[in-house]
This record gives sequence, structure tokens and C-alpha cells, in this order.
Amino acid sequence: MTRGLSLFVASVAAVCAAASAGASAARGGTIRGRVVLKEAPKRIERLPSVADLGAPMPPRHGADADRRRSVVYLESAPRGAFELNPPAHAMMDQRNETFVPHVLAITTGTVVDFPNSDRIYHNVFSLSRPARFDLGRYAAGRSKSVRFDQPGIVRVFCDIHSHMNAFILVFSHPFFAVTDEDGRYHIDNVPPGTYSVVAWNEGVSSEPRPVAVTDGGAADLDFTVR
Amino acid sequence: MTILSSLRNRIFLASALLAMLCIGLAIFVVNVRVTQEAERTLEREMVATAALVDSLRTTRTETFTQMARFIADAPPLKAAVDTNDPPTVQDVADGYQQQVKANLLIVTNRVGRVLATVGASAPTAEIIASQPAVRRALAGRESYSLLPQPDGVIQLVTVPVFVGLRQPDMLGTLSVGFMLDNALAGQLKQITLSDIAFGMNGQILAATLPRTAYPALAGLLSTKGLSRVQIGAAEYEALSRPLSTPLEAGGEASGPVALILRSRTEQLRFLEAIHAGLVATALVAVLLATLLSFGVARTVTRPLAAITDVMRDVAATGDLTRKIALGSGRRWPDADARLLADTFNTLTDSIARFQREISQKERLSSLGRLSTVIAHEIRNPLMIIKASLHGLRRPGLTAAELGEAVADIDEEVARLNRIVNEVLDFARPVPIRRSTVDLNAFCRECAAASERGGAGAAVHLDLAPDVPPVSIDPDRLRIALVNLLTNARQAVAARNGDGPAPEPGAPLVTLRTAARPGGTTIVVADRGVGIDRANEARVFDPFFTTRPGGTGLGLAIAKTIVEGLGGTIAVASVPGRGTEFRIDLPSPGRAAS
Repeated sequence: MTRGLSLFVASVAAVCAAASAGASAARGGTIRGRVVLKEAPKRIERLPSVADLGAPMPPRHGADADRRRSVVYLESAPRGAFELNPPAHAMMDQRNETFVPHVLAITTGTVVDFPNSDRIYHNVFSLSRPARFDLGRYAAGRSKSVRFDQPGIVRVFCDIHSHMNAFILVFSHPFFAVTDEDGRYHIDNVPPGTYSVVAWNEGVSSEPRPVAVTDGGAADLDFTVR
Repeated sequence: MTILSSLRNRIFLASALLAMLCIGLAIFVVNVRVTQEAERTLEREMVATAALVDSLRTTRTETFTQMARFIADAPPLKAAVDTNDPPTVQDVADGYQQQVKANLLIVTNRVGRVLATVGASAPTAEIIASQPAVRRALAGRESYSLLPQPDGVIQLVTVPVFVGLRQPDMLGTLSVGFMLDNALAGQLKQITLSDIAFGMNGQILAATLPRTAYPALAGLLSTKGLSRVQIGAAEYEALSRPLSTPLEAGGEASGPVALILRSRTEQLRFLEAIHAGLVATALVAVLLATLLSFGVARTVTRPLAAITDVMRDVAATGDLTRKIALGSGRRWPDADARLLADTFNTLTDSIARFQREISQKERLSSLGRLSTVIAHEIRNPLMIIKASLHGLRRPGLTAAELGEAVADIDEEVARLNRIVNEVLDFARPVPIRRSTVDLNAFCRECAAASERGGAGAAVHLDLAPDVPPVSIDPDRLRIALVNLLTNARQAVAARNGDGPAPEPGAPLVTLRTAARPGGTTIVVADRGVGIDRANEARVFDPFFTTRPGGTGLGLAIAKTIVEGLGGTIAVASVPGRGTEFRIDLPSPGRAAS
């Protein structure tokens, strides 16, 4: 297994070369399947620290469910895919000292809003290479935004609440999907062709797997991660 | 031992020894107790210091652990580690290192690769990252380890860096290290006032003592409890404390150790002052005790000396009226000495009384015997004189008869006169006039005088040439000696009737002189008839005689004279073989006293 970030740098360049001959962009096929997590992320025996004092106990239901969501994406995208990207807006909320959603997948050029829906101050910053930013601390009810122009994986943190973290996966093409809590996904409108597909969960990627997409057809592809 | 034969010496020695023993024992006990107490205090201080060092170390470790946790929990570090980008992490690590002033700060990613190092070279960081501590931290457990460095022991707290609450995501590890080096040892020394050393694997890595002491200290690393070590001129009490609990060290015997050292030499220096003080006190006390013992011994024996002086005086002078007078004004009257003195006074009184009674009796007895002798001795001549006078009255007296009667009367008168002289010689106390004479010459003179007295055996002279001059009254002693020689010659003459001498050729009468220790001896020996055993004890009694015509005063007079000169006279006789009279005269020095 390899880390997703490095894969991404290489994959972006490969997207055009691997694209299949001009298919209909409007229709295309579907890739669907399930990402099975071999094992749940290990719990760390940790000592209570001062950082725990402000933590909500117990955490909001669904935080664990969020962590079971994976992202499945085409390692190589068909030619001309980029022109289809519409300028988009996404949102990563901050509620109960948690980033919601925990995993956000966007295309390049997307502006992500980080509203503070808590009653306390929050901060959003990242040191990840595709997007280094620090929105500073801001009060409840306010919101700040970041535009992500580089593809890659960006991990965001809150410098006030050390346990808060979230992943934003920035793709240069639209052929990706976030699974549901059970790992099911489907990627629609994939131009016919042969692709290699990767599943990613919490910083861990699967081996790329090849899939042939036919026009109007549906290819089943299951993954096992970790 | 002659020293112990004196009561005063015995008392003095006993008191002095007793005093010395008591003082010595007391000083010894005090010394032992003080030394023990000092040792115990030193041990207590060591244990207290060890507890202090332990507590400081624990506090320090806890502080570092907390510090490491805080840094590991800081979102910037987490974000940096998550990038897996060494320059990014290095920036953050530098910032934190400056804040906490840690000696060492190492960050690894989730597979244990070093992302940032502060305070150590890259190879060192790799070595540290390969320690089990990092693997444990990646498994989510904090760990505490100690690693030897050239200039000390590094105390390393390794904590996981993770993010999230329920199912945290392990990002990497953070190790924060603090050196146990000379600087820290110096700080601990300021707090604990003890020397501190840190060592590991049988090697001293840092200490407050100079580097030359390291080999000696290294031997203490594996010891348990208190031990002692000689470093240079000073002896140190050492206590080794493991820096890691057995759990942390994994049961290693060569684990890191803190040595707590205290200079016994310095700590126990005050003991030397006490020892010196005690010795000085002991010396002074023994001196005083000796002087006091001497004084006490003297107070005991001084009355005895006074009594002895008087006794000696009495013995020398025969003055029984001398009394021992113990000063009544004395500060410490001695009842025992007074009793002794009183008893002695009573004794001399009694002796004086007995002497008076005896002399009274003797006088009466002598008077009785004198009366008998005089009656007999004087009556005989008187009878002869009366008979002669009766013959003179007879008519027809021839001239021859007249001459014979006159001669008889004359002879008897002379005899009477001699008796009166002898009685006077014996009874009249004649003062002794001493002069120093040559004894041998004196003896020759006496022998000649004796031979002139009448015919008989010759006196053989056997005179020792080395006889010293003697201090005698020559006139009086001549009377005694001539008397003895005359007796001897008469005894030999009396024998002639009984038969020849048993050893023909041997001298019949011998006058011998000899020197002996403390005086001289004159012996008059004869081969005469001897004296019966029954009479031998009485020969010196006045008026005892076995010879017809003797007054029995000759030997009594001789004895009086010899004893008057401070000497003694003794007789030894074998009947039928001879008699020997022996006169012992004291040397002039003794005679004078």
C-alpha cells in the first residue's frame, strides 16, 4: 500500500495520456462497487491530556461513520475531462468540534467554505503541500473560504482543538466518488475505456485496479483497503 | 616488685590506674557513640539526598513527559508531521525546541523515519529512532528511555503524535530528550550539597567530580545500597540509585545509574576535632587524677611515716619515753593512723613498765645472790684472817710463823679487795669512751696481757689482715677479752688432769678475728673441758660460777661491756671438747647509731 499523496502527483500527468478516444461525454458508463475496510483503524491507548478537557464526550454519533467513508477515483482520467469542470462551491462545517464531513472530495478550482457552527472559536489551517493556508481564528457563526487550485490531498486541522482534522481530496477531474458508510459507491458518466481505479481511506490507498467501462454499461469493482 | 611493696605506691598506682581506666573507658564510649552517631547521620543524609534526587528526577521526568505530550498534541506539529515533509517538520520542531529548551528533539513519521532532528547529528538521530521507544510510541504507548552519550546520559521521553479522539490516526512520534550531564549534576549538587555522577553500562558519563575520579566511580555503578570509595585523598560514601525503574530498564543490570556521593573525609572532619578534644581532655584528666592519687596516697602514708620515724628513733635510742604525737590540728585526721600511734604509745609504755619491773626483780635477785656470794666469798678470807690473827696471839711465835700469818692476811685482804672491785665493775655503770683502734693490734695486746697473768697454754693468734678498724672502748673491751682468754686458759689447764687433748698438736687456745658484712667478729676458742649443757645458758648470769674461788662475775661483766658497745656475745660448747665464745661487733657506722 502506498500513500495517496505521492500517487496523485504522478496521476495528474497521466490523466490525458491514458484517455480513451473521443467518446460521448454526455453518456458514458458507470463504475460501482464496494470498498471493504479490512480492519477498523486501530484505537490508540492514550493517556488523558489537557487537550481532552474541552472535548465533547461522547463524540457526536456519526464521527466514526464518517471515518468509514472512502474515496474511489480514477487514477487516469479521459481527455477533455477538465473542460467539464464547472466552477463549484463546497462546504466543510465545524460542529461539535468536528469537521463535517470528515472526508471531502472536490475538483480543482472549488472554493470550500469553512463555517463555524459551534459556540466557540475555531481555526482552520493546513500545512499540506497542495494548499498551505491558515484561516486564523474566528468566532461562532462566521465563515471563511479557501479555493483549492492544486490537486492532491489536503489535511486540515484546527490549531485550537488538536483532535479536529479532516481530509479534502482535490481532483483535477470529476471521476471520483465518496462511498457511503457501508462502502458503496458509484462513479457515473465515465467515458468508455480502460482505467485504473484506486480506493482511498484515511490516508491509505489501495493498489490501482484496472476496469473497462463500456458505453452505457456498468462495471463492478470492489476494493479492500488496509 | 619493690615498687609495689610500699603502701603509698600501691595506693597511688591503684588510684591512678583506676582513674585512667575510668577516664579511658568514658572517653572510649563517648568516642564510639559520637562516631556512630556521625556515621548514622551521614547515612541518613545520604538516604535523604537519594530521596531528594529521586524526587527531582521524577518531577523532571514528569515535566518532560508533559512537555512532550503538549508538543505532540500541538496541531501545528500534527499538521507538519502529516505532510511527511522533513523541511516543514524541521521548522516546527525548531520552534518548539526553542520554547522548551530541550537538549534533543526528534520527530519521526508513522513508519519511524526521522523527519526532524534538533540537537543531534543525523546518524545519532537515526540511532535513537531505531530504539524500541519509537516502536512503542507508534503502538500508542509513551515510553521513557535513557541512552548513553559521550558527555552524559540522555533522558528521552517518546510520545506518539496522533490526531482524533475515538479512533485516532497515528501520525508519528516525538522524542524529547534532556541530558543528564555535568551541568545538571552541578545543579543537583547545589540543591543536595552532594556530589552526583551519572553512569551507564559500567561507565561514568557525567559527574561533578573531576574526570580522574571516573574509573573509581565506575566500580560503584553495579553496587546496591551504601558503599565507600577512595577518590584521591578523600573517602566518599556512595549510594547508587537506578535512574530507570526495573520496568523501564527491562531488568538490565547495567542500566543507567545516578551516584550520590558525599565526602566522608569532609563530613567527618568535625569528628577529628572531637577526637582531639577528647584526647586532650583525657590527658588533662589523667594528669589531674594522677596528682590527686598521689596526694591521697600521701595523706594515707604520711601518718605512717611519722609513726615509723618515731619507731626508728625509739629503736635506735631505746628511749621508750618518746611518744608519737599526730598533729591534732590536721585537716583530715586519720583514725587508723591515730589508732596505730596510740597502740604504739601504749606498747612502749608497757615495755617501759615491764622493763622497770624486770630490772626491779633482777636487782632483788642479784642482791640475794650477791649476798650469798659475798657471805661466802668474804667469810672465807675473814675466817682465814681470823685464824691467822689467832695464831699471831699465840705465845712463842716464831719469825717464820709470823711471816706466814702476815702473808696469809695480806693475801686474803687482796682477795677481798678483788671481790669488791669485781662487784663494783659489774654494778657500777661505767661510761663508754669510744675510740677507733686497730682490732688485730688490740687482740695481740690482750693475748700478751692474758699470758702475763700466769703460766698456762699459749694463745694462738689467727688474725685476719683485712679487719677494718673498729670503734670501741679499748679499756673496757680489754677487760672482757682478757677475762675470756683467762677463762680459756684455765679450762685448758683444768683439762690437763683429765688427759691429753683429743687432737694433739692443735693450738689449745685460739684468738681469731674476722671481718663480716656489717661488722667484725672476735672468736676465743679453747680445747678445754667445755661447759655442761645445763650450764651453758647460765654462763653469762652474774655470780654463776663452776670454779671454786670464782665470783661468777667475769662473763657477766664481759657481756655488759660487749652489749654496751652495741655488739653481741654468744657461747657454743661441746663438753669434753672445748668452748668457743664469739663476739660480734658492729661496724663503726652502725655502732654510732
